[in-house]
Amino acid sequence: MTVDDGVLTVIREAVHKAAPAFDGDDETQLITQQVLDSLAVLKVASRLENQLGVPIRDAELLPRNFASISAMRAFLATKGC
Amino acid sequence: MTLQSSPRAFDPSGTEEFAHWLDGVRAWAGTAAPDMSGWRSGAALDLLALPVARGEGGAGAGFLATCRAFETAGEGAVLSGNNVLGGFLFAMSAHLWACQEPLLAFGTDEQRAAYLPDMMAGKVCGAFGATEDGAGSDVMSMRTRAVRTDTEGWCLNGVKTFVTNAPTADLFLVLARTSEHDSYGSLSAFLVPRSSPGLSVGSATEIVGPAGARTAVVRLADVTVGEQACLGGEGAGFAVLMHAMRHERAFILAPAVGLMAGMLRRTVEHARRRSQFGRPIATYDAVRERLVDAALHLAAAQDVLRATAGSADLDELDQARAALTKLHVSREFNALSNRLADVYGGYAMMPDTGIPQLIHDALASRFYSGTDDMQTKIIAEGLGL
Repeated sequence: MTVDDGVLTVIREAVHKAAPAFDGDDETQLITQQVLDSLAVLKVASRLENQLGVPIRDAELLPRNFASISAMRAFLATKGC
Repeated sequence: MTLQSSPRAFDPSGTEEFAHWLDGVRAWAGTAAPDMSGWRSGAALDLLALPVARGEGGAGAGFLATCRAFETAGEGAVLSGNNVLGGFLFAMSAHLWACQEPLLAFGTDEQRAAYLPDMMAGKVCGAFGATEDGAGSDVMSMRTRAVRTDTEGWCLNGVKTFVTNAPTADLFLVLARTSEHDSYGSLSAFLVPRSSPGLSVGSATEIVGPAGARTAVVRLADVTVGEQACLGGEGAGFAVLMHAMRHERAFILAPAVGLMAGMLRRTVEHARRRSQFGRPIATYDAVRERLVDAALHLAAAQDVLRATAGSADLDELDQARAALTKLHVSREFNALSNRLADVYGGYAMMPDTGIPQLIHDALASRFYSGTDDMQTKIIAEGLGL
């Protein structure tokens, strides 16, 4: 169980905004289960940048960084969030 | 070239030395042929090394200085009557932003060492193969496949269309599907030398603009490359594409802004020279209004392009800003072209005026690097819509 420090909420909101029908949990595989397509990942990344004030580089738009909500949390932790 | 005439030797941001160096770029554009000799002589001026950091062997001039250089080249070409160079500058830009820049961002030390010095020196021309017959704006529907071989490599099969620089390219950056599920993690990018067995380039596609740019179909039939050919790792294809498009959309129209400036000056001269009803047409309010409108379109394009380049120098260029720049400059380019055509009247149909080519180049700018509709979609998402 990951303690939500606010960042998780932002990530969950970003995923729901990009994929309104999403009803999985933090471990659901968003890419391989096709919850997020390419444009949806861009939406999520853009929202995370705006909401958290952290730039996400193109080279970081990798499947492993957006594989799940938990993966995004871990990725953002590496950027100081 | 002497060292003093290279931007490597000075801080290029707004200095007198930079202005002097731009004079050399302007002179080059006036006489350069739209072929590999022109490519190499442009590279000798450091045009292809401008935005690359000095630590990578580049000139370290930044994005704004690079845009100013390509604007200057575009203007210089037009004012010298070298009308076909506009598309050639577009082709150099495609090499710069869609091939060299992704290599810089995603390449390993070995990949950069293998290609970057020769790309900056004009010895290796790069081309980006993303578009396919059935995968234009909908790039995720591409059919080109790369499958792992038994020998730690990849085997590529597919057909790429509208590949700018393909007729002369030495290196292709090819996007291919590496897994079957339809998600953005299914794409990977590969560095494929032209000499690779199974790679063939069709004859140049006939296009009316941009003049001087050459595009062709590229076929990959069981092209085998090593593991080291994969750029950014398996699954990084979409990230590579986004990086290429972000830079291409932001800066690909820098030469066009130069064309706009040059054509405006030429048209002003035409309006002063040509007389109707006993006096120069430049004295008629209707003509003056068209030229003033064109000046407004030029200023709007210059301002947005340069502001975007400045933001990129601060590492603040996002996808929406890049798309906005492409859409905005393209619209201003088309609007200016039409206003200038009206000043020429029937003479606008004559190639020597440069107007037919300008209109074709402007039309093409609405479609390459993503259509207007795609730019609008990206900008809307950037607005949170």
